[in-house]
Amino acid sequence: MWATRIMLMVVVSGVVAPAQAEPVAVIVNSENTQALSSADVRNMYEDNVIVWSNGDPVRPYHLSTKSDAREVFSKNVLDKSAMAAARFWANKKITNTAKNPPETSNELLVINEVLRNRQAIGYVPLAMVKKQDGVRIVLTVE
Amino acid sequence: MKLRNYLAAGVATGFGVLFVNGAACADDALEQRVRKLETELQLSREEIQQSRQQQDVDVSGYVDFEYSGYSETPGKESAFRLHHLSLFFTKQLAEKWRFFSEIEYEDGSNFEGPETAGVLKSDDGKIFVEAVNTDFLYDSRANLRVGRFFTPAGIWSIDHYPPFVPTQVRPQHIRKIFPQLVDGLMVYGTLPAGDSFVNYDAYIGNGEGNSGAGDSNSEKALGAKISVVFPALDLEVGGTIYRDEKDTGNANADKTAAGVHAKLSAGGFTGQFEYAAADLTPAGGGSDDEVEGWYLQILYDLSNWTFGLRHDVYDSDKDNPVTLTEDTVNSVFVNYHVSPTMVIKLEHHVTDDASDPVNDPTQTMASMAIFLGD
Repeated sequence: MWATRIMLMVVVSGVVAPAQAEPVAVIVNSENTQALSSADVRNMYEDNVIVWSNGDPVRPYHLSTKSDAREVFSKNVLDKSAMAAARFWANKKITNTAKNPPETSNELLVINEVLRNRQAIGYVPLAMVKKQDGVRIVLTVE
Repeated sequence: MKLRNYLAAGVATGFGVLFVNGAACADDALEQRVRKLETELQLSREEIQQSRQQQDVDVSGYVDFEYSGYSETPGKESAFRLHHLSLFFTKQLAEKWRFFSEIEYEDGSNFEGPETAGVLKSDDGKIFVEAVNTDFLYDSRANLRVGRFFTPAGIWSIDHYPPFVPTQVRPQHIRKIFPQLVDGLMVYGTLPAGDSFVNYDAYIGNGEGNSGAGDSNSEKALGAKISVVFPALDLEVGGTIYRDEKDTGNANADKTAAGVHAKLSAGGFTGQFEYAAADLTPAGGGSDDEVEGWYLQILYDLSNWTFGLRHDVYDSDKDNPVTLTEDTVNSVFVNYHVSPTMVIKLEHHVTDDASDPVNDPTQTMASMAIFLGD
């Protein structure tokens, strides 16, 4: 009985796979020429790497946990759900072990931040930056 | 007549279409302009907010409530518990200097001064300065921390906060082999090593059993922890050592402790293992005491849910052949993450006490833990 109820709650709470989300582009400023692999991006978003190869600090930007793009990015690059990635950072903050926590913003602001800041890295739906001058797409995930 | 009417209607329609198109273009341009201005306004707001955050003290914290039921546990009644209300204060003092503190109110602390006597009396609960320290963030490879901080030992000693651990009940050996806190100075950092990273912490402090006012002896405690993180494998392995020649917390015994830990995640599963042992040589001579503990925990994350099992063993006097001092706790638990900062937990623990072959005490707990930050 209990097992049935728990299973029902799990299904109701959204375990069912979401509809196909659109591709996501990981972006940096076009003047930033450093080559980045998926592992490099992951290290920047998991506090393992906090500086660019030239020594400048990395400024990572996350989208809201409600964003489909964040779920796609988290699953494909960080290998965890957006919720688990958010818990990872909240735990780092509460234990005073966070070295370079990402800012959380919306898509337009992330693009703007990347446009004006060579140290920034973010991700947004690919369609928003396909023809955008001033940003460089370093990785596409879907 | 008809032709004239048709021409007039055609001209009117043409003007109409041009007007509508023109108006639509103007609307589009206006809409784009409004969006641009909205973005600029939001950017300015964020800049102001960031600037304020850099100047202000950031206040956050966490809170957790519990309800526990017991069986075969004399003296324990089922009850609600206002377990923790902890407040964190953080401030970026300068570009490379950061302050952090945690003040914990435990069990609904109640400290009240009597009306007549001129002094405060203490009452139920606990108010505790769990952490107060300042970091000098020199480089990701080398940073300095001064003050009171959690002992870097294994995994649970640091990652122990209720909103982010799967059970309210912690593994038995935590805080019994390595001390909970250090008052002292620590160097820590991360060193890249190929595709992996080496995290290290090395510290010197007063040792266990001392208040924040000082040390009861001149011997200082020394400790270090090293973890190697392999991001591609989602694997962390490491070890901890700790030495205090006069451990105030254990009647000035000469204490040496060591441990190993590992954490591996794959396909939604996370396995976590810690082992630690301490050897205590009594100050007045006599045979050594050996304390040992370990646990293995398996978690499975499924959307907002976490399911888990833990096998946990602790022996408070391992090398004594006469007394049976080994306790084993088997746990099963489920967490529902309402949001990244709020969790509801249900956990069930069964204890097998080697010295009591009759009773197997159980504890079943429902709890809620909330991180008051982002």
